[in-house]
Amino acid sequence: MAGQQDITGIFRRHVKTVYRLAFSYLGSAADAEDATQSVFMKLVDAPRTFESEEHEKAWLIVCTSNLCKDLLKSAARKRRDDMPVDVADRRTYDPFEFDDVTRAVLDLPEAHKDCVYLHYYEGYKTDEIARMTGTPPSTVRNRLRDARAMLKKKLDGTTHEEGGTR
Amino acid sequence: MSTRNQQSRRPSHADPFDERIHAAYDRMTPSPEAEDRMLSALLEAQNHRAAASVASQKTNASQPYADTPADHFDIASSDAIHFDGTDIDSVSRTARRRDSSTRRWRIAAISLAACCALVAIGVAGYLGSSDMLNSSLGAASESSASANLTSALPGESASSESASASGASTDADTPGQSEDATESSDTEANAEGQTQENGESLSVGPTPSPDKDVRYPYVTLSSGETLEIAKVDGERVAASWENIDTPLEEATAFNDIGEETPCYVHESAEGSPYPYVIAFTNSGEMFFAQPTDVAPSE
Repeated sequence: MAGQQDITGIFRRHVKTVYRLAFSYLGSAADAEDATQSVFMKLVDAPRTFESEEHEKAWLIVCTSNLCKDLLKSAARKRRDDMPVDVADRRTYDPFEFDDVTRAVLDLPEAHKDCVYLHYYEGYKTDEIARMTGTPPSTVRNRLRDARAMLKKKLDGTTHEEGGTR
Repeated sequence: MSTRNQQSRRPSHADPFDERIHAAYDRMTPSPEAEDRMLSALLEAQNHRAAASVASQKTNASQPYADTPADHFDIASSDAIHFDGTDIDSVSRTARRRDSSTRRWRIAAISLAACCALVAIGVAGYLGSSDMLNSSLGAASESSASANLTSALPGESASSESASASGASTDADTPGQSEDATESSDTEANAEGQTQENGESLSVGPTPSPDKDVRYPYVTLSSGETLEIAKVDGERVAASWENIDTPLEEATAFNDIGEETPCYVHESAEGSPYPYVIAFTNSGEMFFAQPTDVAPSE
């Protein structure tokens, strides 16, 4: 089992990355916190050795993406069962809680979220993102291009009210 | 205020638009209180598990031949993961690939059972119709009945349409029969297309049945990539076991109105026209698939 020091070190190094990525998928601090804990718990339950901190980070990022996608699928299935089929709103967050830019980022399609985060915030290049996520580089480039177009379309012409969200 | 990550990879955005996106993610950073809270919960859980592990080891020490937790330890986590930039994998994906051989046998068993069931239904249908014909005409020619039986098998032209039609009407797995009935012209055209493509690619695999499973043309892989069943001239491109190379993962196929059905995704064999094969669990039908950038609405 990973030593107490190990898990603390790993946690401190990568919690912000994992949390931000989870937040971008799930849209709420509470859900992001739960998801972050679940991801790190995987290391507690099944410790593994990483070759480098980059490898460690990449593993956590992929784990977070997969977990959040599974959570969203379960939530969507539950909403479909509980709500009338003609209800169009698929958001998982309160739209009035966030500024325009944050809302636009949260509204990105699931498949685009990890690429956009890794590129715009973490600074990874498309080839690096492709290796990390197991996605062809052309797909990563298409998603980044499409996401940028979607964000620009949503944000063009809006007043730039950007403030805190926490 | 932006938070510089410890890898010093913070991109320097010359474009103000990119800076706005970066700032949006910055606002998603957890507070120090939230971090401490999460870490406390994590360490508490770790201590609980350590205590439980020690307790179970003490119990096992008194029973030397009992199973220990180590016997069930996750293989993937016990070895160093070789990282050359191409081997990064999530725990769930590793577990799925490790089970691929078991899953392959399961897929083979399910498809064989489905194939046998469909052939039996077709044979029973022809036996029944040939009996009716004999009794109504008063003719008892066994050679003509056996000729009908052989022509009922897939890959033959005229008889396969009625074989697939009788298969559809008696297939217990088919929900929404009225829906399939309204698409009967497409179904027959599809069955005819499959046989005209020639039986070689269909010589191994389930009997062609109404393409009810193309009601679910999309599959999203665990990597996030979306696949769509391939079409040529509007017709779905059927596949068979010969077209499969490596099983990838169990998945769920879906359509634009949110309906789903289980399936398996495979990489197709070299020389195949499309990169993937989707095998539907319930019907055993298989179709080629390829990545799509069109995001289906649910």
